[in-house]
Amino acid sequence: MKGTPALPLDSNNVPMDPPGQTETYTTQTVAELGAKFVPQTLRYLGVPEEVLRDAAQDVLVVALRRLDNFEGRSTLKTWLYGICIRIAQEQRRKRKNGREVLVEQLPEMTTPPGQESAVEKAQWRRALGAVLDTVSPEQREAFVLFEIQRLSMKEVAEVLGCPLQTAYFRHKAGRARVLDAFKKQAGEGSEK
Amino acid sequence: MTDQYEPQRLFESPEAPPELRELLLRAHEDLPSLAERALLIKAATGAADMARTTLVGARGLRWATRVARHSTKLWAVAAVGVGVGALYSAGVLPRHSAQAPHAQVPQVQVSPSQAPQLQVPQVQPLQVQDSADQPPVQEERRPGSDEEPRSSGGLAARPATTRELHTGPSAHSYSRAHAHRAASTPSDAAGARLRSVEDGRASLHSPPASGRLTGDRSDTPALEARPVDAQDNSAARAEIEARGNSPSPEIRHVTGAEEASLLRSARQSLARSPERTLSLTDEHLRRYPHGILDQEREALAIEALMELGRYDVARTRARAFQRAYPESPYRARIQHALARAAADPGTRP
Repeated sequence: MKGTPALPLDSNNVPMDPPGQTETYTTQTVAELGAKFVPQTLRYLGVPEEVLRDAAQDVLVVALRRLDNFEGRSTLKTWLYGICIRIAQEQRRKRKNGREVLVEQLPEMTTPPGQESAVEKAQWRRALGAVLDTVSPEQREAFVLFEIQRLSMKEVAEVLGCPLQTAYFRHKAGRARVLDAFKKQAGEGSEK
Repeated sequence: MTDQYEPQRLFESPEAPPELRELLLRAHEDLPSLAERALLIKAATGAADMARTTLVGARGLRWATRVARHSTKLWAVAAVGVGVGALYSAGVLPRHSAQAPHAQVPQVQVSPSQAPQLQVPQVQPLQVQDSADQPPVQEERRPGSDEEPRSSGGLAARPATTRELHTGPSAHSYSRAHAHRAASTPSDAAGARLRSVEDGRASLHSPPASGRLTGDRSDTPALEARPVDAQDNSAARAEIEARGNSPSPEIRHVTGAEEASLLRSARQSLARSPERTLSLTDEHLRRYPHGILDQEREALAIEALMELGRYDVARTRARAFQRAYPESPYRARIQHALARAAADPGTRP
């Protein structure tokens, strides 16, 4: 069996699965692979920072629990992305139903002095999040997977479980929306 | 993997403003640090393991509750058995009087004061014969509610009915005697009914009394006794049921349901008020010093202490826990709680 380190890496430094892979993965392999991109993906899919850690853990727990059912019809990577999408949808539903009261910012988020980079990071993350918030959920999923996670369109379609053309369309629409929103935001910023 | 029709990505496309390109580049490189990854992996594998063990635990608990439920049934059956036995030995239930008709003869003699017109010695041989070839089973289901020293005294009078009706002369005298006795027990509704029978002289009792002389053996008093019988049995049943349904404290204790509910509310309040969690776990320790969920309690207490910022106490308790339960499934959770507090600079004291 080929170990994880021996697998070729994609542009995201995530090991790629050889096509038709049907090997069984160990818990550790899956957790390590997921820990790399799951929090990032969830963040740009719109999961708030306050629950990001829990949501990421949920994704991995679901993956580990269902690992026995993983049939290798998709790659391990797209399978994990698929779980991310579902957990993000679940989070969105929770927030919509208003069952969870989210505090503005957790005390954990306060950055200690001497770490300007963290403040800066939080700022641009929020800016990008605001732009992405203007896009509909489906288009946002396609946009994030293609532009930020840099999956191929085929993989995007696989993750979203839709035809390739639909993935193209969603990405295109999302991209137009993002460009619009960004220009508008920049315009507002310069007016001020 | 990529196909030639794929659109150019925005971060390298001239279409996008440079600021947006910069943002997308940064977002792409915005991967969690190694420490964060390690924490996430640990938490996820720990949680997955715990989910598996709680599954096993839940199965065990389900078995325990099932046994407890059945034992409730067993208790109920036992209580019904005891109740029935008690009623049987008290002579309230049927068969008791049917089994030995002659044994009732002296009982008739016991209460002559209330039935002065009964000519017992005269009819005694007849009575034995009669009730032997036709025991009036239905009718004999008389309540044991009579105030006489022998509760079966009422039952004994019944063979006398047939005998009396046969012999003819004192048909009314039985009815009166019976009514007297019945009326002497104030709680007995049948007594009141019988009395009204006697006073009115117009109901079931008296007409057959005269008709008996023609030799009609169909037993009218039996007809009358039936509703009384039903009433009494239902009362007895209610009593038995009440006894069977009463909760027995031992059963509730054995299942650990109270323990579990205490800890459940402790766990639920962990996020909002760790003080309450801590006080609930303390209460658990006080009430169930050797409970079946003490590992869960310790884990919760340690998490609550960490939340409250009492790190030293939490660490001491965690060390004690690891000494006591080196193989515990909660170990990962405790370590995670300790590690998280250490990793969060914001929560460090």
